[in-house]
Amino acid sequence: MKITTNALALASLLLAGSIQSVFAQDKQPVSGVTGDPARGPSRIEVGLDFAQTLGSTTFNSSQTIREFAEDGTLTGAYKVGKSPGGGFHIQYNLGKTFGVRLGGQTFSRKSTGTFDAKIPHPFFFAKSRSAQGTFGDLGFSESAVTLTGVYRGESGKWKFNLEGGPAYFAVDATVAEKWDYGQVYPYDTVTLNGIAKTKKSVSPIGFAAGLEIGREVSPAVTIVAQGRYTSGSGDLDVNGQKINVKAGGAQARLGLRIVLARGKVKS
Amino acid sequence: MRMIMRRATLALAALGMGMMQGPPADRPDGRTSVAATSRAAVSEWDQKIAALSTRGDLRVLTTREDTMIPGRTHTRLEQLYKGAPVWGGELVRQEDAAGTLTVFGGLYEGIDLDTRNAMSEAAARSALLRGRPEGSTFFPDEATLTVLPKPEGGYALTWRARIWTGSDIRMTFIDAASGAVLMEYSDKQTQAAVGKATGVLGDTKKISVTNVGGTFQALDALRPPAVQTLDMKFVPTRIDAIFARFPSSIASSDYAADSDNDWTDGAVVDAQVYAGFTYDYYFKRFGRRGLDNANITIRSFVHMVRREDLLALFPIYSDFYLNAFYAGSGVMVYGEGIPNNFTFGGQHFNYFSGALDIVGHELSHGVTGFTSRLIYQGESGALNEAFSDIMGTSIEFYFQPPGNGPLQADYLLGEDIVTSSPTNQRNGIRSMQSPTLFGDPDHYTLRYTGTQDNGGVHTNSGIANNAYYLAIEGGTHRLGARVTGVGGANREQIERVFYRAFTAFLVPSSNFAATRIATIQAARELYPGNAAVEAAVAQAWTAVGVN
Repeated sequence: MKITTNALALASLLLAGSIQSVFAQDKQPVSGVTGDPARGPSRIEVGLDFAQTLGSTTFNSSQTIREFAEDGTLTGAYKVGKSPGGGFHIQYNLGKTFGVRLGGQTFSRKSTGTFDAKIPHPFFFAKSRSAQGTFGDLGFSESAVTLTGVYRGESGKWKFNLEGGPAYFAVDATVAEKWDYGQVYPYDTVTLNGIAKTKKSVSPIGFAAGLEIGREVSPAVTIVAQGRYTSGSGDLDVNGQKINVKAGGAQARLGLRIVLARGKVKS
Repeated sequence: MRMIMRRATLALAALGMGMMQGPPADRPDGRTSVAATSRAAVSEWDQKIAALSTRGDLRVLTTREDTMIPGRTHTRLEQLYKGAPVWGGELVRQEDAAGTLTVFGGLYEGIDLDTRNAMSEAAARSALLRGRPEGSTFFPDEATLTVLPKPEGGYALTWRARIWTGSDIRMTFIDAASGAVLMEYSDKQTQAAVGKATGVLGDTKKISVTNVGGTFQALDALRPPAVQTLDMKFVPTRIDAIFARFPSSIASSDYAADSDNDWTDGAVVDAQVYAGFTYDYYFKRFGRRGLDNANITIRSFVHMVRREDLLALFPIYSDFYLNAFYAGSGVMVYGEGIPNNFTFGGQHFNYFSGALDIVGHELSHGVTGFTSRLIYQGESGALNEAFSDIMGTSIEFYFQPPGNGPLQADYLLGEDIVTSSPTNQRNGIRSMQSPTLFGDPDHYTLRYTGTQDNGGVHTNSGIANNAYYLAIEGGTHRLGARVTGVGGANREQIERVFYRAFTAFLVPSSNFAATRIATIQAARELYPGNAAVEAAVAQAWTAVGVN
């Protein structure tokens, strides 16, 4: 989570710095940039998006838990549900058709885990008792900082951007750490009452790609719809055992693109 | 407001709760015990429970079927104060179709708390986690507003939660207004422990023990009764001292112990494990709860003498070498066996606790002692021995695969620890399939009628043993009679028949003839629609000459 916060803070600083420099530039154009800032091609723009993940993601876990002098297993199938989220970016256009976009996105999602426990018998080796259960309301939040290259195009007031590049994720996932089961003598069966949860973090590197179509509503503002796909996976460490989690997925976005600075790009 | 806050106090007082059983508030902390077993008391508590439930001072927590007596249920009712559970305030009501049978439990009086100042649950959860190791979580994920009876008297309104800290589960109560910790203890309940163990024959198994201050003792805390193994550490007089003031003279140091919970003393291991198996068998097969059906403590004594001291001590303590016996009151004593370079009657004797059928046999004497109490002499004595052989063998078949090798189930007694040299042709001490292999009779006309061995209790048991064997396996008796047994796959039927007959129908003076009738009656009752069981039993008794 700290990583996420730091990354977002860094992005914010970059954004703020860019805005400051843009404002400074508006007052005192940078050498090498010519033309009418109000009418020239977009050079620096920011975007703000409302996003909705389109599908669920899943990941599995398999943990070995020592109980009654024997190893048992707790396997889990987690399903991370759809959720709304948000994103922003700042984009520097290198030319009419290419730009570089630094962005961030965040989602706070809920996951459900279906667990299958093989719990050793207290009196016998190799006579594990099986129990199953599904438990919800497990937290799964993910944030990402993306650095993408943007291919830009337009037709009249219609604009489109095609972007792709690496993504740095920060995932906080609540996962099972141990089982909570009920048993009564003679202990031949067990009931899975719940799980002991633990919140773990991982920061995988992945990628982001998207296609957005926008309609210019004013020289400075464009409304866009975007389809985006991000993906990353990393291993959570739960008591020394790895749980591979997946971040990202398909998402739909609706947002604004605001031009902060224009000018003829130095040729 | 004060009047409202005293509602629980007044409600309970108005119901005369404390006047029912014992004095009001029979403990300094305001708890009143309830133990209503008479019809009048139960009836009155029924009314009080109804009234308290209507007022919202009681709510049903669970209702469970009685697993021991069909048709009964047990309902647990939790005491509430303004909707908050009162910690430890609970009643349990036993009912059958005719109504309430008993009410036990305890309720707290004199609660007078203002619940308005309680912090929110969210604030409480933050307070409960304050100062915990990183990653601490609620387990389960809840915090409950709870009335806590304070040890020094009075009550406190608290937020209660179980918190998993990564290494412990802390049951924590914080003041609902200030967040100060009022009470906290480990709820991990780690006393019961299961260790890895190696038995007399080198087999690996689990052992149920107790962690006592970091040392593991052979005290089974997982089964309903206490199952204990005591290590006499080769001091034969120690058991005398214990028996002289039993059981108060048992010291903690008498219990067999292991430092790392990887048990390698086979005699200790098998005494402890097989005593547990015997309890399990009686429970799973017959629903019986231990020797007395009331979970009497099972204590096994091992290592009274050293094998190396055989020549010096055998004249005094022969039973501590070459015997195992049930001493009454749930006490088992297992012989040490003899050194490997010695034989007795051409046989080697290992630790007696190393044979599951022997452990089952001896403990079954305890079952007889609490049921038929068959007199240990003559025919009744032979039946006493036979019942132990039958149950010992049944236990062996329950836990071990059939076969002729070590740790396999067969119709020999003690074959795992009494082995012949060098041919292995006569392992064990008795055969239920062929009693004559060991010189025991397999027909009533051949019974021993002398005075040795209490009139041949260990000899004439062969007659009933052989009947049991034939009822299961069938076949042709040595003297020619044919029996159609129920088959090994249905051995449970014959086990249940013999158990029922011996424990429910026999009396101290019962003889073979009465046992035939009792087992046939048991077969009719248990399997009224299966004439094959009754026929197998009747044919088996006929084959061994008991009519």
